[in-house]
Amino acid sequence: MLRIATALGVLVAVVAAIVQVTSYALLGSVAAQPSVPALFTAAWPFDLFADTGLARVPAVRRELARAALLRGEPARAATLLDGAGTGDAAEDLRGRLAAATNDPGDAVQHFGRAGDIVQARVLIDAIAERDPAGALRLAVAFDRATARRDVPAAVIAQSDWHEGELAAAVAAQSPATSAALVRESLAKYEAAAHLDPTQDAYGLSVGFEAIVAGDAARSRDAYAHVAAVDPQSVDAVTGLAVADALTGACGPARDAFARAQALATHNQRTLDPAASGYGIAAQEALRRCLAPEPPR
Amino acid sequence: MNLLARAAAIAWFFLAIGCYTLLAPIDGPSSIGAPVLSRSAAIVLAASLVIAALVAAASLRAALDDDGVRTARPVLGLWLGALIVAGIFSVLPGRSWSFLALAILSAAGSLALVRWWRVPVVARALVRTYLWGGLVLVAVALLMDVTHRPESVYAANLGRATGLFVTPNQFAAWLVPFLATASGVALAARTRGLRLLAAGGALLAAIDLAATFSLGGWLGGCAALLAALWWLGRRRVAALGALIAVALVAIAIVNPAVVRHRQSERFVRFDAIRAGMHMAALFPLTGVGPLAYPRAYPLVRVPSSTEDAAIAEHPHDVTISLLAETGLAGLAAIVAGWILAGRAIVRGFSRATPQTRTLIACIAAGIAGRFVHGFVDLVGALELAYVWFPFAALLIALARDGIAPEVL
Repeated sequence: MLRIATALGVLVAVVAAIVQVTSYALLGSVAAQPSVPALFTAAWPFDLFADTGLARVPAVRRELARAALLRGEPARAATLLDGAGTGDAAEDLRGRLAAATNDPGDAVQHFGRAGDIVQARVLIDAIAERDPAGALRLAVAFDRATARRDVPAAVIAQSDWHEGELAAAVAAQSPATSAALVRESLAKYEAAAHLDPTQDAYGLSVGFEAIVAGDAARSRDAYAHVAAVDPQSVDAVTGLAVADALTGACGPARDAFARAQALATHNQRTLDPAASGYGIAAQEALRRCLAPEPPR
Repeated sequence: MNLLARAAAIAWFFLAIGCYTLLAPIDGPSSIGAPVLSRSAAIVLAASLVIAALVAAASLRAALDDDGVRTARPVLGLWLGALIVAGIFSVLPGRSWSFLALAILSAAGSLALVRWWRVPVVARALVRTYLWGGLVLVAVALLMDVTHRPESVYAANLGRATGLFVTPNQFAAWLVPFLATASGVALAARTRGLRLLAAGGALLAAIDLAATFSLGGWLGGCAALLAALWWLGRRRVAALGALIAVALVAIAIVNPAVVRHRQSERFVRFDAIRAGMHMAALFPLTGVGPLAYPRAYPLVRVPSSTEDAAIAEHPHDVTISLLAETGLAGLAAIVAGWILAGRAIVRGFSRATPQTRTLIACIAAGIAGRFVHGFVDLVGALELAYVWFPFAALLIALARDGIAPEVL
C-alpha cells in the first residue's frame, strides 16, 4: 500500500514538474528579473505541442496563444487562435490580438463577447483622451456585443454606466447633438441603475443627468431611491433639494438642503454639498428657494 | 536574559502577529478599504513586532533541544520549508523573500512560545496581554461603529464595523480566534478578574463580529462555535448552530443588500476562485511563490469578471491560495505539518486537566472557524506564517505542558 502511494506521489510530482517547467517556458516573461521562472523562458513548447499533436486541443491552443501574445508574436497567436474554440477565454484572446494589431473596433467586439470590461475599458479610455466621440462609438459596440452573450448583469451595468459617462462627456462638447446624447446618457445610466440598484453611483448619475435633460421629476425619483438605500448619501439628499427646487417645491427643497448640510459634516464621501456642479438654472432655482422670505 | 523581558517579548509577539493586517498601510495607498492607522503608526507596530520576535528568538539559543521545541520543530520546519521552496521558484522573488524573512522570525517567535509557555510568568503575560490588547481593539471598533467615526471609514465600508483594520473581513478574521480564545479563558479562569476580562472581551468581540456584516466571518464564527461545542461534548447545541449557519448563507445568496454588500460583489468570489484554480493548474508543483499571486494574476483573470476583479492579491480561498502560492509540494508539506501538530495536540488533550481541555478546545475551534472563513477569503501564505505558526505553537504548548494554576 505504502509503495503504491509513494509511486503515485512521485508520478504526480513528475507530471506537476513537467507542467510547471512548460509554463515557465511559455509564460516566464511575467516573472520579475532575475528569477528562476524567467530563466526558463523559451519557445520549445510551441514546437513540442505541434509535433505531438497536442496543439490541436482547443484548451492547449488557447494557452499557447496567450503565451504568443505575451511574447509579442501576434502572427503565431493568430494561427493558434484559429480553432481555439468560441468560449469567453478564446474571445478575450482574440480581442487582445486585435488590440495588439491596432484594430480597436474588432477588439471591442471580441471583448464584448467575452464580457471583458476591464480590457475594453483600457482600450476605450485611451482613445477617449484624444477622441471622445470615437470612444463612445467603441463603447456602444462593446455594449451591443455583450448583449449577445451570457455576460453577468453587474458587468453589463458597469458597461452601461461607462457608456452613459462617455455620452455625457461628448454632449458637453457638442451642443448641436447634445439633446440626443443627453437622452442616450440618461437611458444608459437608468439601465445600469436598474441592473444594480445597490451602486449609489448609478442612481446619482441618473438623478444628475435627468436634471441636465430637464426632467426634474425623474431626477427626484432617482435621488429619492439612492437616499432610501443610503440615507447618509449627502449627494442624494442635495440632489433631492435641487430637484424639488426645480419643481417649485421650495419647502421640501429647503428641508432637504438643510439635511444635506447636516449630513455633510459627518460624511467625507460628499462630492458637492453646495450643489455647485449643477447647471445655472438649477443653482438659481435652489438659490431662490433658500433665500430668506421677505417680511410680511 | 531577564525573564520579564522574555515574557513581554513573547506576549507582544503573539498579540501583534495576529493583527498583521493592521500593517497594510506600510505598502502605501491600496485599492481596498480605508486604513485608519497611518503609515508611521503601522511602521512603529511592525518594528515592535520584529523586535519582540528577535528577543524571543534570542531566548531560543540554548533551547533548541528542549522537549517542547523538539515537538514543534518538525511542524514549523515543514511549513517554513514549504514557503522557502516556493520562494526559490517565485515569479516575484523580492516580495516573496521579504515575506520569508518575517515568516522565519514568526517561526522563531512561535518556537520560543513553546519553550517558555511552561514558565508561569510567560504564560500569564501572554494570556493577559492578548486579552487586554484584544479588549482595546474590540472596544475601539465598537466605539467607531456607534459614533460613525472616522466618517470616511464608516462610509467606505457601508457602515460595517472595521475597527483599526483595513476591511470588515480582515477584522472579522481576527475576531473569530480572539472570540474563541477569550471564551475559553472565561470558561477556564479561576479568578474573578480574569473571568471578567475574558468574558467582557468575548462579549464585545461577538457584538463586533455581528456588526462587521462579514459573511465569511459569520460563517467562521458559527463554525468556531460548533467546533467548540462539539469538542466540549455539547453536540445537540452544535447541531442547532449548524442550522443558523445555513440560514446565514441563504440570506446572503437571496439578498446581498441585507448584509450590506454591493450587488457587484455577489459573484466576485466565484471568479476569484476560478482564477486561483487556473493559476494552480499552470504552476502545480511549487506555485507562483509566497505573495507573488498578483504578478501572475493577469494570466488567469476570468474575462467576464467585474472591474472590481481587475487586480487581485489572492484567490479568496485559503486552500486554493496555498495551492497557487506553494503548489502541490507546499500543500502536501502543510497538511503533513497539521497532521503532526494534530497528533501532538490530541495526545495532550486526552490527558489534560478540564481547564486545559476547555482552552485547547476553544482555541482550536477559533482556528477551525478562521479556516472556514478562509473558504471565501484570506491569503494562504500570510495565514500560514502569521496565524497557524503561533496558534499551532500555543496549542502544542498547551497540550504538552498544560497551564499553570496561577496563570488562570
